[in-house]
Amino acid sequence: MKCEYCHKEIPPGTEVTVNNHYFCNSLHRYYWENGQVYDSSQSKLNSNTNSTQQNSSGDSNEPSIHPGRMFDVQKSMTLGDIFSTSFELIKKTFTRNIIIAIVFLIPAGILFAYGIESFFSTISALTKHSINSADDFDIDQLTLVFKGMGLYFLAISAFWLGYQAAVIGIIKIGCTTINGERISINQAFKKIFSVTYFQSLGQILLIVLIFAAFILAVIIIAALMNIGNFILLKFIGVLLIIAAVVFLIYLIFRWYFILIALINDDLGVIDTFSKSSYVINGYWWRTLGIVILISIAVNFAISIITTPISFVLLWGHLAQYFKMMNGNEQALNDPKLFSGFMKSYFSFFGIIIILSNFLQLLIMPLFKIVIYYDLKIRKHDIKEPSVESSSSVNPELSFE
Amino acid sequence: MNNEITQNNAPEMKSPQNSSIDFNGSWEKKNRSITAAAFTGLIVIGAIYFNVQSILLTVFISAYKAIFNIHFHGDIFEKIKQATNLFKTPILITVVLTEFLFMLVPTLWIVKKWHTREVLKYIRIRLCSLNEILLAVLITIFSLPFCYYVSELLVRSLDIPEVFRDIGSQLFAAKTSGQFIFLIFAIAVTPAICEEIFFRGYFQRTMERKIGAKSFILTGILFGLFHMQPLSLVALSILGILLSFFYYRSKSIFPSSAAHFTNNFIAISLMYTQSNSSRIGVMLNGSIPISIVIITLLISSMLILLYINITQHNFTV
Repeated sequence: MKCEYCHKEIPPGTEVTVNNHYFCNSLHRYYWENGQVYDSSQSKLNSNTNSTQQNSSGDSNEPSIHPGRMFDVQKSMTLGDIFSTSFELIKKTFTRNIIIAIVFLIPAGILFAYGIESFFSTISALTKHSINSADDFDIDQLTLVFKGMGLYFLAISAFWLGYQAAVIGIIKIGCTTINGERISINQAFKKIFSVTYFQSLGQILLIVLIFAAFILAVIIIAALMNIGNFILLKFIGVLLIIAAVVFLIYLIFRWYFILIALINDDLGVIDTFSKSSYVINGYWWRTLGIVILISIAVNFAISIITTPISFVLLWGHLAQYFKMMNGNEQALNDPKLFSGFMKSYFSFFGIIIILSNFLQLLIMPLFKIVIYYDLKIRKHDIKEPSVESSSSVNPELSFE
Repeated sequence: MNNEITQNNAPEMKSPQNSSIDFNGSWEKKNRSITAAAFTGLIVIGAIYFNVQSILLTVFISAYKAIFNIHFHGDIFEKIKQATNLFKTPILITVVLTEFLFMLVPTLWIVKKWHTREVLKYIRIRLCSLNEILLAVLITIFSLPFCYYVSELLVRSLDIPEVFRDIGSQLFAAKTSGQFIFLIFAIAVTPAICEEIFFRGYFQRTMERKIGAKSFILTGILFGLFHMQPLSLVALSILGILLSFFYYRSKSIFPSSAAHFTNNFIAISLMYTQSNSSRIGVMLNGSIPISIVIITLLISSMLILLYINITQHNFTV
């Protein structure tokens, strides 16, 4: 069976069918339906119709607005465009993203809450022991502390790994959707459980190493400052520390888009750093301002939702606390009562942290994608999908 | 009467009030989502307002403390109480400044930039009948016992200690008539202008174009959530829905502004009378008999029906 558009053989079971016509993928179906002709000698599209989607130079072969795309290659975005496109992207990807977030974040979150709970239970038990007994801690109790700490560390790691997996899935869905294509949940899962996940961990490892180097440098500078009693040396040391911190902040924003570059542009780990740095070059201040504004706005929106929920979740504890205060003011200073109160308090913090992260996950990566695409537009870094590349698009992909 | 068409649930885009506005703002020209505009405005302005307010408060209080070399004594609650009492004026000045500069001004700017140059028309600063305003005020007064009752119920079930209640009420209590007048401006007049233009004039007005009558419920709930007072969430949301309802029915900002002013004014007056040991103040701030709550709620419901009736002309083509 051959594609009606490019006349190439279609792999069995991957065809897109419309009224007994067969296509390699939805993009070819779209071009065929709109009368666009594939010129194999030029690997380019030639439109038979007077397309209204011409770019400013009037070249009808390269439409500035690709069908289904949520941006115009010819126009960089204003702040209003960024917000508007992000809202549209959130709307279009909401169901798929919420499934991904539930699948990865809820189990990781339960582990996280359990880890916090057991850690603080251990602390609570030890506090009680120290009140009741004058003896020092024995080896069993110290083992208990280390066990609690280990579990706490494991819980945080599990949560973070789950969060990272969910972010990859959501970014993959967001990037394909903004390009006017559609990716199924299964395909997003495939992306999560691919080498990309380990590459993303590699990115984080690199950043952690760079951070460690900076901290080490600051410690060395601080140590050098204390040699002798030279005021000039101290002054230079302080200046160097300030410069190191400023440079670190600068670098963090230069590498703000490494994960999106990894998922969207299929680059190697080191290349993603160069790519992020390249797109942000010349727009550092603008990006910084937009990211700060959006972060403040998103956190504010999340706090509006989580404040009453936290209050409801903590209702029992607050009632107990106020009862203690009303009944006996000395109770507040009683470590026995306080340790009992603290014992189950932190599982609620676990739930609140999960909820905040869950909401953040559904919003923040999509804003980031839109900002990244705006920078790519500004850098003329958006490639029109040529027919060759479009035929390599997964046939299951379809337009929204 | 038969050929009268009501549009209670129709998006306001089709209503006659909207037809004369020239939507020439950048958001409108680009044909972007109206819902996105409403939520972007709400969240961005809200975030800026709250953050700037926190920063200014910190700066003002730190400067005040440093200049006058202030120290507090007693336990932690006693210290908080002393600080609230002492910093009441800078806190209120900050609230007034931020409401005007970081809530009202950006709202008007967004309307002009994104939607239309006819800002006053968009946010519905238009005259309406005095009956509509007076009725809105009456409905608010008769709804207050119910709102206070709900809040009081939550406070009682949590058994909040007196010391916490004192800290909160200290901010709104006036000991002299001069303080009382300043409080009226800061707590009653300022929100009646700024918050009304922000919530009703911008958010609700924009959402109304998309979802029609449902916008007043949404705006009311968001109004409650925005205050970030979990104990008063239910009462504030009820008040918010009422204010939004007045705006939706009257197609004017004045009834909701008057009602908002009334609500806050009564709250301050009660605190003032309480601090001056007036019997009515103490009684109203304490538990309200359920019979009074039911009676006032019934009266309020009947007045709402009357309000629907007198504003029917806004929905008739």
